[in-house]
Amino acid sequence: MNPDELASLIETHASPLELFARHWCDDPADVVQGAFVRLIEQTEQPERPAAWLYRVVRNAALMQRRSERRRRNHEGHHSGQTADWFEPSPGDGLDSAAATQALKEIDDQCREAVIARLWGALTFEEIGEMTGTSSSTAHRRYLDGLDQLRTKLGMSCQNE
Amino acid sequence: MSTRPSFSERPDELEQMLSRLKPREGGVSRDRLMFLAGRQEVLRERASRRRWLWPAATAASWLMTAAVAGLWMQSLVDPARSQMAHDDQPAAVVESPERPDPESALGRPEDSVAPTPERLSATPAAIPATSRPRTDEPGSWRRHPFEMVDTPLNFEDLPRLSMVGWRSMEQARRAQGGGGQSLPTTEPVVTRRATYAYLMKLYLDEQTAPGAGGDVL
Repeated sequence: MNPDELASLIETHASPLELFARHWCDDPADVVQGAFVRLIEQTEQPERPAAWLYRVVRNAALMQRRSERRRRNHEGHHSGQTADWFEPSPGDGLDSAAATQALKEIDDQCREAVIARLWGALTFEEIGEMTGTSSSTAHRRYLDGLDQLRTKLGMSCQNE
Repeated sequence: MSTRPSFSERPDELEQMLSRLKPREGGVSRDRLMFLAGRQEVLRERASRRRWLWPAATAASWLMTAAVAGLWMQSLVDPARSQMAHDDQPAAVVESPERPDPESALGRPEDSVAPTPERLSATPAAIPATSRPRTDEPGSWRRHPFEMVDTPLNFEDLPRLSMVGWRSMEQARRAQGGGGQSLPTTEPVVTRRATYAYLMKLYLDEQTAPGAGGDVL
């Protein structure tokens, strides 16, 4: 992979990947950086680097979540994440804090489908490969996630 | 009825509003990643350069093994080429008439065990002198050191024999029964064949004797 391609990948996917890993672990930047390092170390570059990165980040974040759970159970306390996941939105857009809160409250499977689709720009086939499901299941989870977000944000369905 | 959902590419309002939200910048260091990428590329190039080293070493070792195996097989086919001669006892030498007789310079007592022409001719394993290395030539002791040990001493070869000391050489001369100027000594005179091995024994006995103050100890 040449430096331009790598720089473009970092520019485009680093923040969405952090958002994707944030609801699983406390240190998403570390996980994302590790995924990029693994991508650099590959002798043969993956066919779809973005999908490959999302899959690696997902696995690493889940592993980190397991270790954090063990540590928290051992230490007997929980670390709360209160920071917003999004930059403050100007104008009449969605409130970043409300969007963060709504995303935190929906199902994990629906949330990862929504984030991978909206901010990662992955196709439903790629989301299905990443989660080990079919593209139909990925699409259904995405729609379910949107419905849950609508409910949480107090928005009416477009089709109603 | 189909349960497969239709993948609508047209985003609704919520999707558009969510897409406009920008994920918060995290701690991913772009500079560090670019540095790691460059470093990894350099390491990969170095590894590719060294890739020929081990195959070449393996090929060389295989060639060497094949060569040694070939030589071994050849020696099995033609055993005469690799046969080694082991002579525990040096064969008697038939002295040629033109060679100087070392016994003549020392004088030969009656009970000497030195080889005489009669004894040598009666030896069954006598070997012509021309087939054995000449031990009386200058420097022959370097070329044939093991041929020299049982050769009678040639006391005229003084520059070489002086290294073992005049005292040992004088004892060897007396043991041989030779005349000349003897040093005064209280040791009994034993007449025996004076060879280079006997001279070295005398020298070592002298040097290693307690209180001798020799060179060896």
